[in-house]
Amino acid sequence: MNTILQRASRNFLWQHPWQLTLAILGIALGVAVVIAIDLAMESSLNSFKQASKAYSGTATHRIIASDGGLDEKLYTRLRVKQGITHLSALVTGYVKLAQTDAENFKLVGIDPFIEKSLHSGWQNGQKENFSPELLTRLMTEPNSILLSEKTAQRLQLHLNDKLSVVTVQGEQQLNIIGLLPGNDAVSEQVLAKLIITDIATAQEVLGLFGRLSSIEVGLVNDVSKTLAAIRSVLPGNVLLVSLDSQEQSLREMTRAFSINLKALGLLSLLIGIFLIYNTMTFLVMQRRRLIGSLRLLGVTRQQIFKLIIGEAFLLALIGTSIGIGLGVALGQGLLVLISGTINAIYFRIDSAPLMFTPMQIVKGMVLGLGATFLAVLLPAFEATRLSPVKVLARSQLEAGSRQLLKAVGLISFLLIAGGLSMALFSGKSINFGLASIFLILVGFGLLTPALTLLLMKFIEGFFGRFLGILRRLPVRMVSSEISRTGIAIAALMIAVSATIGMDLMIGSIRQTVAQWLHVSLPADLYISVPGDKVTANTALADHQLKEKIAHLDGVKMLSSVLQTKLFADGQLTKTSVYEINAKSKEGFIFKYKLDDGIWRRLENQQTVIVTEPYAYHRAIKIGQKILMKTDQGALGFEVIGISAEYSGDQGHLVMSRQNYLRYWPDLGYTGIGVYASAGADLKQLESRISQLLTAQQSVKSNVDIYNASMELFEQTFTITETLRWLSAAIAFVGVFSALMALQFERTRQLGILRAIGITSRQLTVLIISETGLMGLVAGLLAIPVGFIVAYVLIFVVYQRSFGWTMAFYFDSVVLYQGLALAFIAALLAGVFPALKMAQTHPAEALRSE
Amino acid sequence: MDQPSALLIQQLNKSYQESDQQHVIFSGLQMQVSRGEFIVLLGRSGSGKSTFLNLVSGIDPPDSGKIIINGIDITALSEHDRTLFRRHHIGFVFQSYNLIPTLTVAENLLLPLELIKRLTRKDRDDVAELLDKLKLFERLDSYPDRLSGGEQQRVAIARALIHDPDVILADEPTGNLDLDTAEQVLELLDILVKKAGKTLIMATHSQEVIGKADRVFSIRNKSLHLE
Amino acid sequence: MKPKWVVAILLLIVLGMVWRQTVLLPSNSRNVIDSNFRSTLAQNNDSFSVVSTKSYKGFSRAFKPQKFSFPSDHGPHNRFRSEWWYFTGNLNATQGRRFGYELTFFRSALKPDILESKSAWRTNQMYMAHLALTDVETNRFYTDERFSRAGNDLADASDKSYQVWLYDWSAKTEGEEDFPLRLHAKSVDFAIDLLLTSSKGLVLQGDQGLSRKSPEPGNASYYYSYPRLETEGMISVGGKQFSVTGTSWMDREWSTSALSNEQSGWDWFALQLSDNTELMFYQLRRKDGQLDGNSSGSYIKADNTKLPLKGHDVIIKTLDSWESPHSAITYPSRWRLSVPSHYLELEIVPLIKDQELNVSYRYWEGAVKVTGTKQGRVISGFGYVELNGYKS
Repeated sequence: MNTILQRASRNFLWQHPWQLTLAILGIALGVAVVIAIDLAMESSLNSFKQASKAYSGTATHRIIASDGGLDEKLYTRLRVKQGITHLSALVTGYVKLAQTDAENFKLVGIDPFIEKSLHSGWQNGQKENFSPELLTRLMTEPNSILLSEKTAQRLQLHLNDKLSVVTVQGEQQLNIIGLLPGNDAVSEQVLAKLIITDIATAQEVLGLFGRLSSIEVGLVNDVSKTLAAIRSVLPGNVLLVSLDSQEQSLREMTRAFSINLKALGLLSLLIGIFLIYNTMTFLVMQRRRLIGSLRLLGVTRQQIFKLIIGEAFLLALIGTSIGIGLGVALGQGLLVLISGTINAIYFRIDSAPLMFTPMQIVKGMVLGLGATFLAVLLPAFEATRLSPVKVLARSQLEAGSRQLLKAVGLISFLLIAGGLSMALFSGKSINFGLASIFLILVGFGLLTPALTLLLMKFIEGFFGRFLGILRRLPVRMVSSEISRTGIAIAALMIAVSATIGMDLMIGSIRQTVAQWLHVSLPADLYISVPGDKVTANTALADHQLKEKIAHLDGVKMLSSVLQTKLFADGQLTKTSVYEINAKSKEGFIFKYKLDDGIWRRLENQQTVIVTEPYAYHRAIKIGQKILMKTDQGALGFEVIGISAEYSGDQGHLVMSRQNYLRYWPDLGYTGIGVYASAGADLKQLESRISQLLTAQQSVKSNVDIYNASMELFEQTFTITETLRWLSAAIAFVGVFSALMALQFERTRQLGILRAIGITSRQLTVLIISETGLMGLVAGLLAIPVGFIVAYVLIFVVYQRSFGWTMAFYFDSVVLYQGLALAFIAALLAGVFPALKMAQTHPAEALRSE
Repeated sequence: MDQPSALLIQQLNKSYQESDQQHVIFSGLQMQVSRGEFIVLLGRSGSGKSTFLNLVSGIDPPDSGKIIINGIDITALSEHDRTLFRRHHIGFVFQSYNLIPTLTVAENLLLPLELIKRLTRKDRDDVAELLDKLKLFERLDSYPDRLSGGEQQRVAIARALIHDPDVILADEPTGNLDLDTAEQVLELLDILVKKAGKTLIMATHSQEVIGKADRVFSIRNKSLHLE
Repeated sequence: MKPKWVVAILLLIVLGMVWRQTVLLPSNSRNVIDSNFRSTLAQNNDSFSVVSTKSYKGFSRAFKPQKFSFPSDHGPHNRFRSEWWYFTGNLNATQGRRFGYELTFFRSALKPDILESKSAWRTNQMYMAHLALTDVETNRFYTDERFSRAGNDLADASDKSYQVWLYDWSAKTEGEEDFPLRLHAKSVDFAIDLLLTSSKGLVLQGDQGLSRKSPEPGNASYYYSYPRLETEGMISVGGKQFSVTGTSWMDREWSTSALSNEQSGWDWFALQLSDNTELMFYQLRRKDGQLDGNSSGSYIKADNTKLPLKGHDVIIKTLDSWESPHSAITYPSRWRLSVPSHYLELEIVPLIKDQELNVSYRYWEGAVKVTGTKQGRVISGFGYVELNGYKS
């Protein structure tokens, strides 16, 4: 019985391959985007762990210092005096390849002869332990390195070849004495961006004599005792953190970013759900005769319900499987974008291989299947309600759905009101901010059919008299089949308003950032003095450079900055140490009005300025004190100002150089600002300065910096753009599938029109007009909704995510674009069904039903 | 009877391809219908009555042969021209009424007119008048699904005649109706068609109709047989 | 509410929860943290020599006797390829429990050249240390090892005062003099903390401290011993602490090449007898199974005078053997040692059989008990035996 029953319905499904394909595509794309974002985000964050595993094995803790802080003798003290085992000293730094577009590599100096469990991943992972001879050579041959097989292959290097790198120490030749095979794809990719060497070589190559980058700690037993023993000898500026907590803090740092991305994934899934709902409704409606007959034959409601759910399950299974596959592929692409963004605004990721676990596959499966069930629930119940005796006519269904519209209208008002108040009254929660956007979008989406009806009535009332009956048909078709057209319009509206909202938001941020950059780049030229500012070794050279520049003709005055990291309130925090002059003061935009005394206090007192994101996330107010670790112990620094910053969402501290040098070592400069005297030839000055610089240093005009910063800005929003387009693409598929279904349902009606004497060309125009109209409605509705979304994004979500206050910049082009997008998308989606219908033989069309 | 035939069918062949089997519907079909004639087509379900009507209306092209209506061979026309021809010269009545659900009763009647000319105030008045005659005046602005089957079919007949076609094709117009209603509809059709001197070809099972017909054909063995 | 809405809302909630769920990637399987250095240098029977270069080129070699001077000769001789500070001893807890211990520091020059660098880590000197404890009462043998380069003061020896250390394992003088010397080493489940005082002076082994191992010139080491060091201190094992006293033996030896190609290993005996005399003898074994004529040793009288012993002066007969369950190597396990010229007849029995060090360099080194006769009078004692170069 059941098999025949299933065959009866399955045969029907096979007759609608388009609908099936589109439904599967809908599930697949929705799942793919969610999975891809998950994979890419997790892999990016996990790369941090993988990388540390690659050179410190199973370490559980890490000893780190603020820049310039970790003395190598601390390691000796821990090992020899405290007798602490399972320690691994690391010296790391970045080197640039001398050839081929100056690719960056992380040079990792290890001591290969330590406890096994703290061995590097590549040492442990080999089938046989890495040969002692090679480790011995690594230690005894200066400048010998190990490189991953993959990288060597890519750079066309072989064993015993030389690798030329540029560091603070100048250009250096490194000998490749061993190639590291990756044990698996993950470790292979992690190793691909590393150069492994002995700790002595690392110090020599990077010029980090006497210093360590970190000490990795593997805690075995007596954890608390060992921790206490370690802590007892740590100097003030050094901190012992667990890797888990460090990873946790990275996760915390990128939380806002991650939530925003995931919300975009959810948007895609939501639109995917619409697609499935649409298809399943179509399949049920089309079979109302079949279902009616089956009921007559004695098939129970439960059986019908099971039948529909079973079908949906099959579709979901196929769609989700494809979606997971697609998601992995898409994740690979997103990974590049996401890790790029994380690199640019959060922390450095050396290489992020795409990793996934069975659990993630399961998650994708659950989401895909669950979303499908959710979407199919209503149509399935609908199917069971079909009376066995009287098969409802479409028009009666329409009448029913019109009734429903009223109820839906009320619900949608509640949703919108709820969304808006949630946006207003949910404190600092990003989740609630995003949820409010979803509520508003769904609310307006539900309202869309009713609004569409109103609009159609208005159009007919207003333009009706100018239109003939034939030309009035599209308007009638939209409103008379609102249960179908309404959903398509709503989906399109949601996608387009999200697009408009994000466009306005990005535009506003762009404007705000641009203005801020204009103000905060007061100097004419900026010299970047990179290098690992971990030791005081380079400070002297930096001072000499600054001295030389000060004496150049045309230089009026200089300012300087040292970007470093200090422990503030227990966390390693970016700190900008400034030498401020009269003009560079203007580069700060303060959030509260301040008197001029601030600069004097910044120089002479134990004070800092914090940037807005820092203040926002930690709820810091002026007058509050921040505890900073210094060599003299923890000292409170008073916050005397909050300044604007739009370069990241973590914020940083600003400190005067004079103040800084009282407590921390002089690490030179990372940047020098040059203020030219009036009438000086900037080009000439620039070229004269660049003659004083080493290969790693560079001089740029404020215009160049501005442009580069804006470019970086655009880059960080690439991922948002990409995801937005993905959801728009899914919406397009949805509209396309809805229109296909719609036209199919109308086959007979269109056949009659043809019989009456309407030509196929007229029919095409008719259908395209209808879909164009739908697009137009979607676009029109999307404009105000997009506006609201933009407001919530800017003043709620992004403020909460980044801690930025922004101005709303209205760009009317965005609205036209949104309108055009909706219109063109619908028009395009209408072309194929229109042509297909026009080509359908009227005789066949008449025979249908 | 020196007027040209309203419909002349010569050597008409039609077959359908279903999977790998060729179903021959008509083979060497011949027919001549004079202007104003009322022809009834009998035949078992599936014998090809609907196909015949589709062929005559130009909805379906034949495999070979000629269909000449008012001196025009529609088999020589392109699909587009056939549609234009149909719009002017053919009126259709279907078994399941087939009004356009998204148009009101009045609009359903006006649509065929709009297809052939600019609508005028007079057209609207004519439609209203016609509906009044059909006792459907108060249904003028109703949508078809609010009408009963008989009412719908009356509107459908009015629609078939509104643009003054030469040939009316009716496919079991009473098939969905109860006896009384069917009687009324047939009555109406008879009056309207006869009065206007239109040619009417009707496919039906109804025995009552046979009495009113000028000639009765049945489809057997892939061709027409005069009863 | 109708059931479909309830179902829909529940489903929505579940989906939301699944979506929010971050699926953490396992950072692969976390290795169990073990405390060994074993894989640092692959375990095989001569791993330590694997890492150092095979060639003698560039190294100093022991060709002729030289004058020793202290404390600088207690310090490292980096121009020689290998060197060790060897402490073994038999101890007695106040409760009567008997222990044997070994603490050895090995230095190995991985390359002969001595590099100049601003990096404190740049060195070619590698240190290895072995710690072993024999707990006779429980029949257990504990071992551990450490590795480190000499750089950054992680491991080294001093030529200013007697100091040698590797991480927190050390042998360091407590004051100005070489002795008392404090040995300090701890592993996870056992530790030693001992103070060694010299009761008998230093003995230069071989020919004024030049100990030949094969006829080829240069295949020799500089070798001196402190044959009797009064020892007291603490031992902790199995969570218990024991106050101990006893006697230790210290060997110091450095060389670039010792064994010749035909030689396969040695059996080394260091015995402290109850009449305040000591006997040291190493018997070199040849790959062909024959005894090597270069075997040598000394008998130290109570007044610290040394009587050299040549290979033919000593007759060693193996009475028993023991197969290691760890490595399947069969070691001799009981001996009769006769020195006819001194009327010495000794039977040597390991205190426990399993004293095989299964560290990256595998050998048997264990505490032994000695009984026998000297000139007809009963004599006894304790000592240490090292069995080196045995293969399965």
